[in-house]
Amino acid sequence: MRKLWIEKWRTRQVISIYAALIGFLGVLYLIHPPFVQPSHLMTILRQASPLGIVGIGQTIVLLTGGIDLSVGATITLVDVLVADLTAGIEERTLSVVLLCLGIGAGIGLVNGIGIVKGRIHPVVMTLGMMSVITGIGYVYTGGTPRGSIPPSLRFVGMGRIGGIPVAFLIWVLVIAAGTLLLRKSTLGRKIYAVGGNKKTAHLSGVSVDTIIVLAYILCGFTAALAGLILAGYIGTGSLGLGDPYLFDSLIVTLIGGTSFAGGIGGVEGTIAGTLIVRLLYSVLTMANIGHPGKLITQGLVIMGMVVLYMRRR
Amino acid sequence: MRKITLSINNPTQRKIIIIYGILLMILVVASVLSPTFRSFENISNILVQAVALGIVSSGQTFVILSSGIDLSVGSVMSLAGALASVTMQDSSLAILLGVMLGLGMGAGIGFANGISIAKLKIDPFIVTLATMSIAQGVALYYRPYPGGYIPRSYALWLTGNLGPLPVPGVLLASVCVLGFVLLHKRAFGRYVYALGNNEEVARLSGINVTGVKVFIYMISGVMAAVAGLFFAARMRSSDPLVGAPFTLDSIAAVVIGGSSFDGRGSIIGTIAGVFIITILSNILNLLNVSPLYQYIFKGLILIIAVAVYSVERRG
Repeated sequence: MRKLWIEKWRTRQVISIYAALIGFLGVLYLIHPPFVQPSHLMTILRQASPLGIVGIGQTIVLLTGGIDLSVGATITLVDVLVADLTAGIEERTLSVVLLCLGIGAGIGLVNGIGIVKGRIHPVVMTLGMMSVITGIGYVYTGGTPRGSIPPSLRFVGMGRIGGIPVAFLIWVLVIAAGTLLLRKSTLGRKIYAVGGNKKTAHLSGVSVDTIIVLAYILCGFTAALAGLILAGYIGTGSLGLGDPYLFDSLIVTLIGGTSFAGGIGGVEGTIAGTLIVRLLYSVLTMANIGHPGKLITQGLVIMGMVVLYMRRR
Repeated sequence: MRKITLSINNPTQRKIIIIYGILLMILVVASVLSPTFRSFENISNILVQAVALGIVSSGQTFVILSSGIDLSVGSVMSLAGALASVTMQDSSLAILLGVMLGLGMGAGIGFANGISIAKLKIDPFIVTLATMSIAQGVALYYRPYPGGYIPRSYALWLTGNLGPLPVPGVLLASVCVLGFVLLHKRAFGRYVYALGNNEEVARLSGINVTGVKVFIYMISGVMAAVAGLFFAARMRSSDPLVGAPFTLDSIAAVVIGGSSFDGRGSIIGTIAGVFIITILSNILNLLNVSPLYQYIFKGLILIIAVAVYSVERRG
C-alpha cells in the first residue's frame, strides 16, 4: 500500500520545521507586534538572503555526504576582490562579478578534486582550503582592504524593486534552481543516491566522483554569489566578513533537517532554517542580548533541533 | 636500508618515519637558513610555544583515531583561561580552585560531548560545534575583553623549572607519555582503534562503545583545559578568544602527523605534526616573511600531507 504523503517521515519533518517558523513568528507578534510588520520582515528577508543562498550550496554538499568549511573564506575573498578590482567603477562591474563567480566555482572544483582524486577527507580538504583562501585574502590586501563597490552591485545588496529587496529576489531564483535541480532532475536524484550510499550509487552506474565535484562547484558558486551580495550591502572590502557564514550555513542546513550522513534532506528545510536563524539573531539583537548570549543560544538551538529530529526518527 | 624494511612495511610506522623525516628536513633547512633559528634561546622558545598545541593535539588524536572530531577544544581552552582569571587570587586555595574549576569544566564539556555522541547518536561534528559555540559564549560572558588577574606565583611555577627541567617541557612530555601508554599499552587504546576502524564490529566484539566514547571526549576536554590553564600562565593574563586558532591547528597537527578518521595513526606522529606547525611559523617569522602568508602555508601543508598519505596508502 502506498503511504499517504503526510505519513512520510521527511514530509512530516518539513511540515514541523515550517510549523516551528510560523509558531516563532506568532510568539513574536504577541510579544512585540512591530517586529512582524511587513517592512521589518522585508529587512529580515534581505539580511537572510546571503545566508540562504550559501545555505543551499551547503545543503547540496551535505546531501552528497560531504561538508564545505571553505564557504566563509570564499565570501571574504570575493568581497575584498570585488572592492579592489572594481574600485567602485561601474564599467568594471560585470567582468569582475563574472571573475568572482568563476573563482568561487574554481575553489569548489579544487575542493572536489582533492576529495575524490586525492581521497582527502572533506573536513580536512575544505579546512586546508579555508586556510589557504584566508591567507590569499590577507596577502592580496596586505591586511588592509581597499576600494569600494560600484553602484549597481550596491543596488543588488541594498536596493528594492517594488518594495522587495533585490537580494531576496536572487535568493528566490537560487531556491527555484536548487529545487528544480534536486527534485526534478536526474542530477538531483544522483546527488541523493551518492549521499545515500556511494557503493550502491556507483554500482547503479552513477559517476560518483563527478557528482561530488559538481556539488562542491555549486557550493563554491553560491558562496561567491553570497559574497557579492554582502559586498554590495556593506560597500567596502572587509576581512573577516565571511567568518560567521561558515557555521551559520551549516546550522541552517542542519536545522532544516538535512542530515550529516548524506542523502536525507533538501532545500525546503534549509529555507525555513535560514529564516528561523535570522529571526532569532534579530530578536537577540533587539533584546540587547550581546554576542556571548547569541553564541550560547546558537549552540543550544543546534542541539535542541537535532535532538528533536533524532526523537522523531 | 634492509634493516628497516620491516618497519617500512607497516603503514603506521612508515608514516611516522616519513613525518619525522620531514620534520628533520625542516629543522636542517631552517638551521642553515637562519643562524637565529639554531640559537639556544630560539629552540627553547619553540619548545614552549609547542606545549599548548601539543597538549590539545594529544587529546584530539584520541578523538580523530576513534573516527570523531572535537571542534570545542579551542573554546574550552579559552573558557579555562577565562575561569582562571576570574577565580584565581593570591592564595594557594584560590589558585587550586581555579585549576580544579578549569579541569572540571573541561571534563564536563567532554562528558556532554561524549554522551550526546554515544547515547543520542548525534554526529560529533554537530555536537562539538554546538558546545564550541556555548563554551565560547560563556567565556565571553565571564571575560568580555582580554585581561584579568593570573597570580604571579602560579604563572612562575608553570613557566619555571622543576629541578633542572623546565616545567612546560615536563608537562608536554608527561602528556605525551601518558597518551602513548594509554593508546598503545592499554586495552582502552585498542578500543579506540577498534572504534575508528569499524564501530559496529567494535560493538559486536563486546566493547563498551558508549563508555569508551565518553572517555575519549573527556580526555580531549581535559587536555584542552590543561592547555588553556598553561596558556593563561604563560601570558599572565587571559583572552576570551585565545583558543580559537587551536581548534583548526590541533586537527591539522593530528592529520599532518598521519592519523586518519579510520583508526590509523599514532600520538607519536601527532607530536611531529605539532612541531612542524610550530617551527614553520617560527622560521617564517625569523625569515621576515609576512605573517599574512602563514595561513596559505598551513593550509597547503595540511592538504599536501594528507594527499601524500592517501595516495601512498593506495600505492
